Amino acid sequence: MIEDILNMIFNGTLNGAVLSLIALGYSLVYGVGGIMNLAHGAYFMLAGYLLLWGLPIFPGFLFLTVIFAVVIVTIIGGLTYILLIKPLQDSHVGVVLITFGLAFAIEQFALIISGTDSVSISDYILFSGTTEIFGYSMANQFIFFIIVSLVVVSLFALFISKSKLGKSIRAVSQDREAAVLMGINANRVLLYTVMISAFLAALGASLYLPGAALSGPSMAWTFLTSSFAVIILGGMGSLVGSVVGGYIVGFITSFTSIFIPNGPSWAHVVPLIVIIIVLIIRPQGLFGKKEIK
Amino acid sequence: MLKKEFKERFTNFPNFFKSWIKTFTGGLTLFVVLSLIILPFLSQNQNFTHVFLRQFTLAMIFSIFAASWDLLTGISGQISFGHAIFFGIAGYLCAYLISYQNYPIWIAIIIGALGAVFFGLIIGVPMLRLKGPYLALGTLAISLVLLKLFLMGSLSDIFFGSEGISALPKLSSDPVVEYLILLILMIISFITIIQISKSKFGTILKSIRDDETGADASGINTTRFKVYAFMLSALFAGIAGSCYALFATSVNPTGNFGAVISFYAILMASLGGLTTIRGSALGAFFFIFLEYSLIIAGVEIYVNLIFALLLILVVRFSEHGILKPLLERIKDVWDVLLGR
Repeated sequence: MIEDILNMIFNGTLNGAVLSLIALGYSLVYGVGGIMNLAHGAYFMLAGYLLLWGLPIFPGFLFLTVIFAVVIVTIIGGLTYILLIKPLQDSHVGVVLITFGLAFAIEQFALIISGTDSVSISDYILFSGTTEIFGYSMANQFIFFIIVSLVVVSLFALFISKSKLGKSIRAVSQDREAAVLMGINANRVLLYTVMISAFLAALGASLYLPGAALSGPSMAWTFLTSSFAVIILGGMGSLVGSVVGGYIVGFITSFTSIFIPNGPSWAHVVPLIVIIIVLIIRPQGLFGKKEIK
Repeated sequence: MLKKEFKERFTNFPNFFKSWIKTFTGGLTLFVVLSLIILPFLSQNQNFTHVFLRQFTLAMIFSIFAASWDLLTGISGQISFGHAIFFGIAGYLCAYLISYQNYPIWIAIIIGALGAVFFGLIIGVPMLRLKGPYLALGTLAISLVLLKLFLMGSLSDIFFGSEGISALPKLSSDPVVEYLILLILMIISFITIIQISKSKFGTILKSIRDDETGADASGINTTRFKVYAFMLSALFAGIAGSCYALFATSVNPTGNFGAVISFYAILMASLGGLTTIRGSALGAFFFIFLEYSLIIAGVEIYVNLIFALLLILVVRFSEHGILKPLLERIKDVWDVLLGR
C-alpha cells in the first residue's frame, strides 16, 4: 500500500514535470499570439526521434547529439512561424489546419524512418541507477529530470518577469497594438516565443524520453492531447495555470493508473474527462480570464 | 419553415433544372455524373471491375465523408478534427449488428448512421463551449481517446480489441452493383447537403460561422443550430462509415478510428475548397487516385507524408482549395474552344 502511494506520488510528479514543460510552451504561444500550434506535440516527439537517429553520428559525444536535437527542433519552431503561421495570421482555421498538417507531416516522417514500434534511447541517460526511499526505488534520471523541470520553470518565470524580451512578450500578449505603438517588434517577439516554446519541448524530451522510451511517433498526439487538457484546466493563456494544471493532471493520471481497476486503460481517458469536466464546471479554467474567445 | 421551402423548390424544379444545365457548373456536373453512370459498363475485364472500379467506389464513400466534414467546418464554422469518431462509431455499430446480431445489411447501415448522429449530439453539447482551434483540439482529443479505448488496455476487449470485427458482407458481391449503390448514395447525399447549405437553415449556419455574436444578437439560438450541424454532419459521416465497413469487410481501431481518417476528411475537403461541397468530391477522387498511383508505384509508405505536405501547401498558398481555380481554367479553355 505504501509502495502504491509512493509510486503514485513519484509518477504524478514526473508526469507533472513533463506536462508542465510542454504545456508552458504551448500556452505561451497561445497567450502571446493567439496561435494554437498543433505541431507542439510533434516537436516533443521529433526531439526524441532525433536523439535516436543521432546515435550513430556522435558515438561517445552523445551530449553533442542532444544539443543538435534541441537546436534543430528550435529552428523548426522558428521556421514554422515564419513560413506557416505568420502568413496565415488572419485566419484561425488556416493556422489550425496548417499546424495540423505540419504535425502530421512530422509524424509521418518519423514513421517512415523508424516505424511504429517502441524504441529505447537509454544511451542518453545521464544518471543511471535508482535511489531508494522507504523501500521504493526511483530512477535517477527521472529525479534529475524533475529537478531540472522545476529549475527551468523557475528560470522561465524570472525570464518572463525581469528580462527585456520577457517583458516584451508580456506586453504583446496583453495588448499587441499598444506594444507595437511602444516600439516593440511584435513579429519578432512572436518568432522568439514560438522558438522558446519549441526549445522547452525539446529540452523536456531530451531529459525525459531517455528514461521513458519512445512509444512510437503517435506519442506526438498523446502529449498534445494531454497538454491541451492541462491548458484548459489551467486556464487558456495562463502560464501559472499550465504549470499547476500540469501537476494536477499528472497526479490524476498516476492515481487513476494505480488505484482504479483497469487503471492504465482509464488513464488514457483522463485528459478527456478533465477537459469535459472543466468545460462544464468552470470553462475559464483555474487561472484563466473570464472572456469569450 | 422547411416544408414550405421544399414544396416551392420541388414545383420549381423543372425550370430550375433547365436553366441550371445551361450554366457552366451545371453542365459540367451533369457531364461528370453521366460519365460516372456509364463508367462501370465500359469493360467486362475482371481487373477493371474488381480493382479499378472499386477505387471509384472508395472515392465515393470518402466524398460523402469529406462533404459531411465540409458541412460542419466549412459551412457551420465548427472546426472538427475528430470526424473519425462518427466514421468509426457507425462502422463498428454496423459491423457489430451484422456480425453478432444478424441484422440485415441496410438496417444495420441506417442504425450505424443513427448511432453516429447520437454521438454528434453527445459530442456537440460539451464541445459547444469551445470555439475555433479549441474545438478542433477537443474533437481531436475525443477521437484519440476513443482510438486508445478500442485499441489498448484491458477495456478494449469489450470492444473487440485490436483485431476488430471481420468477415463482413459487402454491399453486393458484384462490384458494379456496389459502385452503383454508392453512386446513388453519393448523389443523394451531395444534393441534400448542397440544398441544406443553400436553404434558410444553411444561411443560419453560415451566419453562425461568420459572426456568432451577431447571430446570437439576431435572436438565433446558436446553441441549438450548432448541435443540429453536428448531428447532420454526423449522419452523413455515419453513412460513409457504415459503407466503408462493408466495403473493407472489416473494422478495426486504427483503420476506422485513426487520426488519419480525420486527416483524410480535412485534406479532401480542403483540397477541393473549404465551403464548396462539390469540392469535397473532387478532393476525394483526387486523393484516392493519387494514393492508388503511389501504391502501384511501390512508394506506399510515403503516401501520408506526401498528403500532409500537400495539405500544408494548399492551405498556405491557396486557401480556397483547387476546385475554383481549376474550374476557372477549364471554363477559360471551354470559352476559347467555343470561340467566345
